[in-house]
Amino acid sequence: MLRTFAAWLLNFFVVFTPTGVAQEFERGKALYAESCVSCHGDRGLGVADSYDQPLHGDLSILELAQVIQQTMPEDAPGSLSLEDASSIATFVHHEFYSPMAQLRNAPPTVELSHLTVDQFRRSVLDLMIPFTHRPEKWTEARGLKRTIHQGDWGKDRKQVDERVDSQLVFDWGDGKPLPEVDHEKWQVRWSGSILAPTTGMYEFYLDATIRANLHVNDHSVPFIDASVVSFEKSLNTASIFLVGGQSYHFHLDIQHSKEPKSRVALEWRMPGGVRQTIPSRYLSPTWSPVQLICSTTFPPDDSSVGYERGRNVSREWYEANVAAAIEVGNRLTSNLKTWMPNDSNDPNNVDAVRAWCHRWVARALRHTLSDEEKRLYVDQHFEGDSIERAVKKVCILTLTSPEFQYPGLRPIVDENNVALLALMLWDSLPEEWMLEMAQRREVHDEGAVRGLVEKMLEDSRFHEKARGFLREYLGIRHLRELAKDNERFPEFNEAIAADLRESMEMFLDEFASNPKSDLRSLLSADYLYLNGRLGSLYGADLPPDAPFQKVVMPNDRWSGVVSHPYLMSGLAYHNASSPVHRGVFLAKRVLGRSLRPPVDAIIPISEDTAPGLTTRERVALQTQGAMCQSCHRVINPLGFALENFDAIGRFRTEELQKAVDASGQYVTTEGQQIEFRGVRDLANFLVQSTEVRESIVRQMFQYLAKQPIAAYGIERADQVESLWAEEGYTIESLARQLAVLAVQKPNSDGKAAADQITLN
Amino acid sequence: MKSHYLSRREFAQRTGIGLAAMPFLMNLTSIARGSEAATRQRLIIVFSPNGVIPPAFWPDEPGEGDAFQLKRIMAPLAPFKDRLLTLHGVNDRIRGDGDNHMRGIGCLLTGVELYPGNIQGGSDTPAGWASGISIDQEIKNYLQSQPHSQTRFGSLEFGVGVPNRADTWTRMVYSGANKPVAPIDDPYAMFNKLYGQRSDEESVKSILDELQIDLDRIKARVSDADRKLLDEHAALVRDLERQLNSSSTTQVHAVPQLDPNVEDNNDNIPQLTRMQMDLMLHAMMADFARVFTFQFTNSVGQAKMRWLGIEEDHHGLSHEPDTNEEAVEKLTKINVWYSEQIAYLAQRLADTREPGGEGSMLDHTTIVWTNELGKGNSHTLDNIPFVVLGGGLGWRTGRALQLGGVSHNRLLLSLAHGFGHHITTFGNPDHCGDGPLILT
Repeated sequence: MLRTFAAWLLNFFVVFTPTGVAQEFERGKALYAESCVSCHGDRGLGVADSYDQPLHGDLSILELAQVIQQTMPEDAPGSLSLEDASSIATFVHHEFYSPMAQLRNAPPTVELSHLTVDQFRRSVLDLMIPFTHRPEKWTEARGLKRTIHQGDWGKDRKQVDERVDSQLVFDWGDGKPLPEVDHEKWQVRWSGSILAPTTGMYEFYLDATIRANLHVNDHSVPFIDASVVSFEKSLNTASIFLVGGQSYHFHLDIQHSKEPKSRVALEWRMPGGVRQTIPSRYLSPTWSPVQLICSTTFPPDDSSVGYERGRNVSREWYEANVAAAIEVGNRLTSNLKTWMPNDSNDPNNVDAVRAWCHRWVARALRHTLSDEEKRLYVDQHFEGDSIERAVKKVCILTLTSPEFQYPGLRPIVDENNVALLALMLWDSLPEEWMLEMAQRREVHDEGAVRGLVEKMLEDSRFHEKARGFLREYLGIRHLRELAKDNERFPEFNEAIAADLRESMEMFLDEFASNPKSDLRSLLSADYLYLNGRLGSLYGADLPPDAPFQKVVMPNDRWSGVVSHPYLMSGLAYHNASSPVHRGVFLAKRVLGRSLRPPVDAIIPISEDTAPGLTTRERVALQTQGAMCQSCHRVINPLGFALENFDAIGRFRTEELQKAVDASGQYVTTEGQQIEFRGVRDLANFLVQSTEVRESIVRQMFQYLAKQPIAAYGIERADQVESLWAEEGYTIESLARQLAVLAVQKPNSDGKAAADQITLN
Repeated sequence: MKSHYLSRREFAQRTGIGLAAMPFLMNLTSIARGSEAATRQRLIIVFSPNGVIPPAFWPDEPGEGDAFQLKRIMAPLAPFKDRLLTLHGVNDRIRGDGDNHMRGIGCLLTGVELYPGNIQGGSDTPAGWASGISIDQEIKNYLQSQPHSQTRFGSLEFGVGVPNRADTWTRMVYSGANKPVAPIDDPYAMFNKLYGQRSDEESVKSILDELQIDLDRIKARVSDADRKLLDEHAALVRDLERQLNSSSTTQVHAVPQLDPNVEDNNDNIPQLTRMQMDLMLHAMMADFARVFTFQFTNSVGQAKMRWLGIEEDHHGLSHEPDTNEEAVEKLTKINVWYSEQIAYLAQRLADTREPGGEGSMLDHTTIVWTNELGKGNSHTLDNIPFVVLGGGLGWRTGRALQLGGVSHNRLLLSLAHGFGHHITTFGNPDHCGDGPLILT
């Protein structure tokens, strides 16, 4: 698979000794000053009205030399000798072009940021933890507990049955749910918890021909009250905003008295999903408390640097912050008793509520309050105001306060450490026991931080964060809509699209929920999660109604997420595969390469204008120009290796009666050329690639800390990568190292300061 | 009325009223829309249950001016006799599933059948919700679709003593087929809906100084580069303060004061009624809505009017035969009390100048007082009580009409036409025969 680079180019680099490089560099410097500087500027930052883009990128010197030779100078491309182009490339690469040179020239710093929208919602939700009962830990069982009673309330009512149902679709016709039921009146309750896989609006569809009440995140007030049934219009729908990764109280009651038909079906539509029966993996018979959900709409977080972070201090953001604080205040005060469940906490007793507020504010601000702070945030608002108004004001002040919004600015290191760790690993607040540790100054040195991180990694909130990272790494939310050409792919429909998404989520969940698993298997695993419907489409031998299960696939055809049909069809057009989308995905996300957007918006050559050409041939034709090739030389040969997968991600060996050519190649940033054929070959390369691992390190740090890793030291990503290798490439090991790294306060020169934590 | 697990107040609050119901600050300056006062028209539909005692209710003869006499139940409306229009002979002809109480309230404003369903009343076939929109919501949608008649809420649904259960007997208003709208019968919840945002603004305003102190304190802990971000944050806080200060000075309309802690129970119905009517009046003054419904209890309403010396519940009494003179007397008194409430509302409107317009608010408002049954003990849907008061729709008042059994769908059409909404049918088209009743 590995091959040394072409001999004719290598000639120029046999002199790979320091002296040789130095000579090349000096020669290149002179040539650059002579021919390039007028358009690109002396630091490669560009010149207004000539070429105003900075010369930044990550091609190897060799590839850069080729690009220069083929495209420069603008008025006579191809006129430079390869030797001159190589000298210029050497100079440019070292001086300002390469990622390392860019960091050296402009070292990134840690910037103050506020909570992201997601962190705000999760912090609000977790704020209530000490004040409510914790949810039971989910057991293996999936589905809801079903109990059946019969008889009249207060007379002869008795339980007839109890079991777990995995789905809520029942049609008992004019009969009874069980033969044992021998009474006209019977009641069924399904109860437990529902897990929201992502944050957003969930629509529920309750279709019942008998009296039904659905409760979501509320014990007493029905979310859908279908006590009155209109037989011709028995469908009721309602929407609720849920925060992802959380489980919520859930129960559905039905009551039969005289209704002629007994049918009940509950479906949902996830944010961006399709209407479907609720997959049983999101249901558990365990108990969950009512959660405090903040559903105010915020403007999106700033993602101008390539990842979301809290830098959007705009009027819209601030007003949303105020509105959200009011919403939380309303939710708190409309039923204070819910949040003060302890009997000694009387919501009508001023002293009790004031004490409750002290604890609540301390938790929100992530430190024990001084007397002065107690007065400022809490006590003064109780003077001359009703309890309800006072609590609301406390809430509004706290949730809009900079102490809440900008964590990590306390004078005490330990307090900052627990605050930052909670954000990094949970996107949320530290637990009270962590605040107590901080108060005792027990989160000071690396050993203590490691110990704490170890505990925090076991929390399901870290699993949720890991899940979020994997989705982000794979760019799930940027995928194209899964709608396909009906004539060409009549088997593909909304249900298949929903199944594919589910299949991907289950695959990612393997890694997120088991942080000890080797992350490399993400790329190389030989199995997929398939149900009967997907099985028949993607070539697995399953009964048509089979539920989702792990299916081992032919090793030479499939490999982990790289060929997952959800990604393959999301990285494709409605009627054809797209080597460009797939190549960009591999280059940018998996390998972490920087790519510029195309100079002009390009309309892909259609099949009609180029009849008889395979997809690969069409793409090659369209991107053959020298300017296009500066990026497509990286993109295309990566994407071509996945040409065995059609627009819906099905394996194929032929296109237009021609054998599919799935050969591809890649030149590493070090200049090494790799060749591969098909997905398994490609995956084998990716799994061994340092670039892939460094990219994961960088991206994961950004996702966890919302800061660039280089701000903590230019060499940090390298160092972490090699330590990670020693620990077997688990998510857990990586998160642990990154968390320890992030609590070191960097100096302005990017070096960790010794006064924050002592690193051995 | 009190639920075993949740008070109605909690229910109303937790079902979302006041909870981010309005985007904060989005409506600071547009709470009262400046629309042409001269074109303002308002409709209030008041419902009281269980039928009436016809001989004590309807004028004996049709006529105009002095040619008709008000009977005992309508006597409290005497001060408004020239603004009054009594419509005898309007029948609710909607049949189908459900008992007469269910259809009485469910088809009253919708003019269309109930769906077959699972709610069993009496010996009739069981039914579900009404299969169409109610006329108040139809008019509201029409007004909200026109820029000059748009208001913050469009319509407001008031109630007093409505039981905390959603079924065919407790719902009169429908936003569409199978979509009942619950009346708000807790004045505190209604207050929250109308003014909650305003009080939130006050709360926000009161904490902004501390927020600035906090920002200053934290600024000292960050680098110069980061301080810039906090400066921008502080500027936003100051902007908000300015905005809140200027908005409160432009509020022309005063917030009403509610008596605190009036419990939502049977014996407080008189006080709750006053509170709700006062809130309604204020909502009209602020032009929060143009269409209002006011639902006393529910169909089959069981209020015990102890404040009139009546211990029995209203519905129980309404089943007594006409020969039971004591029951007839009590039922008459109950209806006189309802009539007095209409009179109170009319008087408040008559005493209030139309904001920015000519005359009194009553000149621009039409009150329609109605009921689910013509007569309690017969459960008839013929001669449904329809008493019209006020000048909102420009109908010729000071008259007692006997219409001889027209379908009530035609009256519903007249209400829409009164607002310039010229629909040709409403509800079941079979009952819309000759179009709207001509009442001008």
